[in-house]
Amino acid sequence: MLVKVKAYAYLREVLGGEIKVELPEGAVLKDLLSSLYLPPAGVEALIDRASGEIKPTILILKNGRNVRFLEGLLTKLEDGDEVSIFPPLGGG
Amino acid sequence: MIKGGFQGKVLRVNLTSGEIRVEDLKEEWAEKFIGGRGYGTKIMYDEVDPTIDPLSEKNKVIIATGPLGGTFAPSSGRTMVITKGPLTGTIACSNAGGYFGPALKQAGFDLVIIEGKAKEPVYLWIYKGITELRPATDLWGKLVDETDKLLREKTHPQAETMEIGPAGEKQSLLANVMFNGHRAAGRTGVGAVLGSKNFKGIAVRGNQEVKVAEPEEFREAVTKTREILSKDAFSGGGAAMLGTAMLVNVLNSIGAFPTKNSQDAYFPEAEKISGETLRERNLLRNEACSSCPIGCGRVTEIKEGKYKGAQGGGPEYESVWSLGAMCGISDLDAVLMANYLCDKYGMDTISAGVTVACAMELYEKGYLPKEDAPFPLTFGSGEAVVEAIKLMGEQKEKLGKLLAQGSYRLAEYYKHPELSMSAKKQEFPAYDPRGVKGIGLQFATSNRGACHVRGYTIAAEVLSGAVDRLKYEGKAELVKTFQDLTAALDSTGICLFTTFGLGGGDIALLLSTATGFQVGEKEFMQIGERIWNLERLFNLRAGFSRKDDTLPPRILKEPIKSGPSKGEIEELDKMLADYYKVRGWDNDGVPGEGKLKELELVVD
Repeated sequence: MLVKVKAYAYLREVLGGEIKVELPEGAVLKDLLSSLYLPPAGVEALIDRASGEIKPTILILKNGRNVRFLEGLLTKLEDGDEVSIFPPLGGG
Repeated sequence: MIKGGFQGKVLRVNLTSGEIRVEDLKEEWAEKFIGGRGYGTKIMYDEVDPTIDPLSEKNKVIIATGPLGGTFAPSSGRTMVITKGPLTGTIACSNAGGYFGPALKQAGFDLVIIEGKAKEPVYLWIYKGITELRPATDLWGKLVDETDKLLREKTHPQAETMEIGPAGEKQSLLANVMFNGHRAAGRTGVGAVLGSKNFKGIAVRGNQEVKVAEPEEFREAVTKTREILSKDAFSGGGAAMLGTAMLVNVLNSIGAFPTKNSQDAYFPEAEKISGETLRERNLLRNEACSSCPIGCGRVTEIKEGKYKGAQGGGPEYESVWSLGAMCGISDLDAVLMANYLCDKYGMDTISAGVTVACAMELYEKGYLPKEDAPFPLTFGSGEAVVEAIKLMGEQKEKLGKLLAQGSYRLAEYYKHPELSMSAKKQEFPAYDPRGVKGIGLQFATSNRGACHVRGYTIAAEVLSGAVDRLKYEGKAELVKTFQDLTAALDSTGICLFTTFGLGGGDIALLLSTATGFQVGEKEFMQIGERIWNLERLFNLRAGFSRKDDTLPPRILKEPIKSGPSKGEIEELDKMLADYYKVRGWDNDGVPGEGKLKELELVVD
């Protein structure tokens, strides 16, 4: 299956702006974020090394839904899904 | 007892008589309401009949700083403008960044009360404690940036300025009050009130130090809070990189980015007007307000095309959205030009853009007849937005006059008020409540009409993702907490953006060490609640009631058509009763006696 990944703000420089990733059926967000698909600096920017979880200041959306309210790193992915990754945010 | 922070002096300027009086700041009020928004609201509540016509001589305008303004507390450059707002008819407080507030403090004053009406246009010059009303006949009609320049030429090259533009002079209900040419106290039509008084602006300069109560402890508190802000990924760098326009892609990615007058909440071309694109194409430099380590402001330039060479401040996220996606526009140059023009005329970019969007829907549906439109008002036409802003700013032709009254009155004139995306007649900011439930409750209950910065639940519902944006549970408490925190914060003189890093306790520490007040986090939040309730009391007396705490039918009934929040509506009823309960108000939204006693708000 093919999943689209879009990174924003300074994460674009680390992750690339928009990439399409081929994943095996049944893959979850963790598989997508694994170093197989992202450069090491990208993983470092997103994952808290101690806990192994997504850093609390990083916003990751699957089709517009914050993965925190899905199944976090174990959120299942399907063909055509769009994953958006944002650095710490503020403003208004 | 006030031991520092405040200068202890209030300037009262009566435009009818020309009399200028210096009064002492009331200590008891300062302890209960701090300064800025709180103290200003207390003056309005005590001195102004809430039922008056906001554009009559009886209205007053309070220009206020807070006790942290002019100190080296982080981001302490805010100035508040408090009045009865003509767009909404509610109590109104709009605030702006820049350098004016600190300069007013250095000139020896915490706030200025403007009352009455001048026979001829005037401006006020405040210099080292000397104050003078001067003729402004030659400034009348000048654009905001020209006025800023001329005021400094007439007074002092390093004076800080506050001014209205032609929109304020002509009493457009979308008129703002500008500071230093492009910092805006944008909302509720505050500029029209100054226009109705023939008051063009203020130039101020001073050299008095702002003393604090406990210098050593204050210095420690400043160091601590600055450290927190510098380590925070948003305030320590992210904000300066992309400015507030970083939110374009965020809100669009969750499908809560109102598009074409909220007919949808997803804009396929958002990338073209995003903070990322703005930085690549147009950013000239960053610009920080007084004592601000965050530096979210920016100066931009149009580099190509028919508007080539135009420059100005911003645009902020809200403006990129209102003049962009809300009108279906992906032409960033047109958005920038419209934004610069709003600043020049002195008009609120949010309300201006949303009003044009409303006109576009009225036009496309055939409710606004072609003979009333000097050019086709079609969604997606950047040229139409720029030309509509010019008509609005100059109040030319029938359409210009109607646009200048805001979307509600425009839509009402064409017999379709339901197409105005507003609450209490003030236009929505850039978040669709159907996709972020709590912010809808905030829009509906905000004391100055639809507004995001009275209670920025977006921080929790979207940015940090601490709570689920699509759930209703817990939103009443969330809205109350944000509203109370902001009311107190707006009274200190520091910027709301500090709260992305700082908590109420941190700000209370700055406040205590600056003033000598014994204020912890709990007391700070209670001051905020007191201010919120006083604003509510003003509005109730002005004739507002539960029926006004609502949202347009589109938001309550029409599901979002596309994007990640497709199918969502806003069920306000699921939160409103809870909200009244959490506030200690009765079913009609009236504060109970117990609550007023608890907050030491005496009602006569």
